Amino acid sequence: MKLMTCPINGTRPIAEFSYGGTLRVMPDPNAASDAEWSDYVFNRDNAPGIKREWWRHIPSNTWFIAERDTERDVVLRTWLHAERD
Amino acid sequence: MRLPSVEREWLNRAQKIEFSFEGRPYEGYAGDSISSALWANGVRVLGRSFKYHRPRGLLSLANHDVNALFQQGGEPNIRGDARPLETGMRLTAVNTFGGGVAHDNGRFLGLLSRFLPVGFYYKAFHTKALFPLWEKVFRLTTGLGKVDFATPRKRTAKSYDFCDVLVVGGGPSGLAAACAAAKAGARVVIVEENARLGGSGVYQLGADAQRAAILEALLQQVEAADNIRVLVDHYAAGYYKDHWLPLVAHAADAPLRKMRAKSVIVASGAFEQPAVFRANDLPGVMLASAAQRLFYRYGIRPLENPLVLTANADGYRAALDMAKSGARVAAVVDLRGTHAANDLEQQVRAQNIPIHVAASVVEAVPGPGGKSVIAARVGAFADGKAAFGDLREIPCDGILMSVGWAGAANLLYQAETRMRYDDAVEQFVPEHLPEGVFACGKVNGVHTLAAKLIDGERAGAAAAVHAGFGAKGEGVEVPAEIESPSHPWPIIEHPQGKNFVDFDEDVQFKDIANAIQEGFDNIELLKRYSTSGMGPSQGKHSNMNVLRILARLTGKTPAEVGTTTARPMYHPVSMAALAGRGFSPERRTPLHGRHAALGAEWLSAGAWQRPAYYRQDGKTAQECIHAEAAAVRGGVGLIDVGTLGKLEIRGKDAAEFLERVYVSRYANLKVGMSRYAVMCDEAGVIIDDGVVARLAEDHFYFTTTTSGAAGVYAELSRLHILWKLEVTLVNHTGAYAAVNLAGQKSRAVLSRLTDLDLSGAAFPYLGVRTGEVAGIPARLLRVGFVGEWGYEIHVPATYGGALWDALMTAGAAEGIRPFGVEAQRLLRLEKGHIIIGQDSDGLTTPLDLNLHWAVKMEKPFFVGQRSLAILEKKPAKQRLVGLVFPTLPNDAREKPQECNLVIEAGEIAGRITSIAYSPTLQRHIALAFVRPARIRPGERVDIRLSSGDTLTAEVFVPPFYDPENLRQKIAD
Amino acid sequence: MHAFVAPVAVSPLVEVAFANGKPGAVVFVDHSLTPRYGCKGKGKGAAQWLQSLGLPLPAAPNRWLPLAEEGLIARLGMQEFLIDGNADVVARLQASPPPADVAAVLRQDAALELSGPGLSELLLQTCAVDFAALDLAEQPVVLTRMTGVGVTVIPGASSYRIWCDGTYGAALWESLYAVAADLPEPPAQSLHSTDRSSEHDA
Repeated sequence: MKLMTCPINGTRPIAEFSYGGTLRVMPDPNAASDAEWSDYVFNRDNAPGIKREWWRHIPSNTWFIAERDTERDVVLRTWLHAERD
Repeated sequence: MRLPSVEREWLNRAQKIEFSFEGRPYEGYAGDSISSALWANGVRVLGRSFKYHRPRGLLSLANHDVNALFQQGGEPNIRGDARPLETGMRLTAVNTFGGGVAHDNGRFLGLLSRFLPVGFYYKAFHTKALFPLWEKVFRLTTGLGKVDFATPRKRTAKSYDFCDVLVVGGGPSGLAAACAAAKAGARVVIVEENARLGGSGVYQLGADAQRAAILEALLQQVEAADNIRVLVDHYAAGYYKDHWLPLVAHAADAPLRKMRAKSVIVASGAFEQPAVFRANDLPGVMLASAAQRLFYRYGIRPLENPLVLTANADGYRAALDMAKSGARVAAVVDLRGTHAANDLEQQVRAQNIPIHVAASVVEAVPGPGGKSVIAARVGAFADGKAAFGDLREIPCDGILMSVGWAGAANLLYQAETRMRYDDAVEQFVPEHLPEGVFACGKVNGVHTLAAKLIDGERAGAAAAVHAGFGAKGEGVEVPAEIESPSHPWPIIEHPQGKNFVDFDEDVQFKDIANAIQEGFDNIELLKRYSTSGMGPSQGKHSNMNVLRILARLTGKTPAEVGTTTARPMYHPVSMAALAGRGFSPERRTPLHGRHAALGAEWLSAGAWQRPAYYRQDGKTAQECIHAEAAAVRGGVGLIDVGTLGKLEIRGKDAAEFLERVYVSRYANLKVGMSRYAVMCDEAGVIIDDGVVARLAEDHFYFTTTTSGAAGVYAELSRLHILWKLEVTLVNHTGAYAAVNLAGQKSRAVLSRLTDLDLSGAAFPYLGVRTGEVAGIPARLLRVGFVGEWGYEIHVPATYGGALWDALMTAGAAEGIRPFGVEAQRLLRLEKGHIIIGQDSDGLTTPLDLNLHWAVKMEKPFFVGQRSLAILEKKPAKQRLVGLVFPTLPNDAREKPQECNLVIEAGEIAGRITSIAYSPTLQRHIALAFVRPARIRPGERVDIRLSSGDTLTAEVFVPPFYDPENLRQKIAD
Repeated sequence: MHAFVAPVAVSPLVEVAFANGKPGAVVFVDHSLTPRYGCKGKGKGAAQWLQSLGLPLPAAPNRWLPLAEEGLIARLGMQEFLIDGNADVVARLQASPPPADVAAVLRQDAALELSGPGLSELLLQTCAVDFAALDLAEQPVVLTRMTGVGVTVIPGASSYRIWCDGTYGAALWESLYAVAADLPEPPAQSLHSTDRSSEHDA
């Protein structure tokens, strides 16, 4: 089973985690056009490649970001959102 | 024939084992496998082949074929090569139609073989009327062992296991690898599928004591290392992500180990490959390594007068081993014109064994009934072709085949290794290994013993470094093979056929050739059409030859043809081992025992167990539910609502946070009051609802739906990280027990248990208070709920039972009754309350549900606001309304149901989302989606019932019961 | 003015602990009613508050420290704390209103303690964490899952303490008990041994 590393709790089987969606930056709702807003809400880039995603360690409710290469199925690194890159 | 003790054999001669095969008694020793014990007793026909029911003997003795497949009582498909002999075994062969292996009634199928080529079933059956007959025939004739449906359920354990370096395979290279990794300090586990370590080091000896000594030294090194753990009689069934391998035991009761390693070394060796010549499946024709195993492991002289067909040094060693066993080797027939193992050749000649080079066996001559070999027909062999003109007939009682090897690379394929075809060894070898995966020995194309040890040490050191032990060394030079251990074409295209490629499926050379001719000329299609490689052995002894045939017949190289991949499991794994235990934990409120004692009929709400209703003697479910509802409307009832999500937020920005995640305003909520709460997602879709109560300026207590609790808390936690507001969020769902005391008499009942002022002025509708109930610290809310005066009371979970008991006692005089989820749904439907997920779906917005009043678009921001702004401007597609059915008698035979459609002008115009018969109102009531044009009270819409009939419904604005909502605000 | 007898607190494990008894290889003890207290806050708020009340503070996430007379304080992740097993300290904390940036967490856990010769095998069958590889001297706290239930585990030399949400307690106990009941007669072995080379599989 694939492993995932929680920045606080360490490396665990992926069954201890849940996926929280792509890391996205919300556009300013007041400035975005309807089309821009819809694109943000509904569209995702599903092409294989390196993604940044929200993940959660379920037993400890720790949210973090994972950088994952979905083409090679490799988790490159994980970090807490508050930390700078 | 069983010999007296052979040095280092695997038997315990002191322990005799009695067993029977097809009713005949035999004797073997502890340490025998079923196959070896039968062969030692002179049994030559061990089974019948799958399709043609040809007599079969041993082929690989390595569990790479299923010639020796047995049934014992209710246990089917016992692998004779791998299963240890046990006292009292009563075995039968699996694929016979009565008559046993000796006189199998199915043997006539062999005579029909001309009509049963591969793929015949795609072409032969045209008359549909006869299909049921053919089905019966096929069900009887196909399949192997018989399943006993009365087999008792056995629970087998699964356990996790951990190591730094896992070595798959305990042969010479694996042992060398393990020692190197252990020396670097890693925790090493060796998993070995046979009963003892050693692999080919045990039997590929050529009667050379030095080779045996090398293995002995390695075994002692392993024994001495206290950081090497050995698991024999276990195999790695597959490779899964991040070095996770299930280790399966041959023994029935041993747990399946889910091993997590930091590095994996695949030292799994290679499958010896058969030569393809006419009648190569006769009992007595076997792989050379099988014969060597029989001798060195089990102290058996395999044959009296064998002939060795070879194309490598291993064959010469096999001839020497047979001579050592006392056999009279008829000849060594070498496919090659020249070779480099001169030393071995000299030793063979010294035994007066004739050697024929550039020659091949083209046919094995059968004894009576095709149950033995009496001679081999040998002809000249050059450029992959045999000369049939001038054949020499050499008497022998068996033929050993030593013509080549295919790497046991299954785990490497599963780890996504890129393989390449190495012409020097005529074998696919790893070209690019994934990180943390290493290969050594035969599977890596290294066959010479000295080279295997160097290759193993290299892999072991590298694996240890990857796991964090030892230092990276300089590159190690592994000596190349001086000649190929595998022949590129050990195949005779015999005009009379019966030259088998896949022994499991009875696939002959011509079957492959015909399939290619029919257009199945790609390795994936060829495999599936010919079924070669699809039997229980999954191509272990056949894939390579099929690949070579396809390459030659299509003018390609083996590299261009490629291989099919290998999928778990490496050997078939019993369902019992895989099933293990299931863990689906139930969630129980603190009142679980109370409900059980009251006769609860349980309902699963996600993981939660809730009482749907409480059973009453002699009453139907509906009668119980109606009685519970009537108790609430008539006086007072009590329900466990402990499954609700209960969240708390504290901090200076608490109100701000709630205003962002819910559609309504909460900054202006007074301390001590509560308000309905609707939550949307970014698309403006309603995803949860509940109640927000303000306990203090900076402290709110809020509820979610039962099924939404975990998801809401998770998402709020995530938003908290993004927004960085000054708040703390707590999930108290499991920490509080909660009940709802509902009904006109609820105030009277509660007043006996608390000093709180329960007057309407002091504790208004929608108010929240903290105080004590029956001496228990509690939070009380007055909410709409079922449309009666009532209190939702939250207490710490350990006091839940005490609270329930106190309320039931205090309410006894009023006839208090517990009520369950079904009564709750009925009561709430009477008030028109929606259920998220029932009266809403993945596209429903608050606007569709007439919740405009709750949506405060003037707030600076809330989740879903921007989308709702877009949707507000669009024409609505649907609206939720109440429905009644003026023309429906209460005892109608067919009643409308959830999801019955609203039909308008032949099109779908909505659907019923909730419906029930209300005993209070004496009519059916429903909630439904209809088109916006139809929402006026009194509008008629057509419902299509499940039978297809039409029923007219009339739009009604909820609440159906107590339209002024007076009963929840005013008590007697 | 009503006068009520002090209410009786009941462990979430009371029904299953009674029903299932005690299997041989593993000893189960229910500690659900042990006094305990929880709190969490953003940033350093909770840590500072507890320190100001005189409690020792584990420096790193997922570590625990003993309290002076009895009991322990565990740091769960970055900013959440569990104080367990010291009635005086718990009472003192419950009587002290926390500052605005700290929230009290009502702990109504199911809590159990497991010990016995079958303990390491039970853990191997129910949890994917390599407990044998942990250094107990660091006093680790492990937040993970066992038999599908989220748990907080404090490993010890001869016993393990486990906390979980009280509403999952019965399910956790029943699953662990069922596994323990199926364990074979245990050989005498150290519970926290990294050396398993003495194991021989038939």
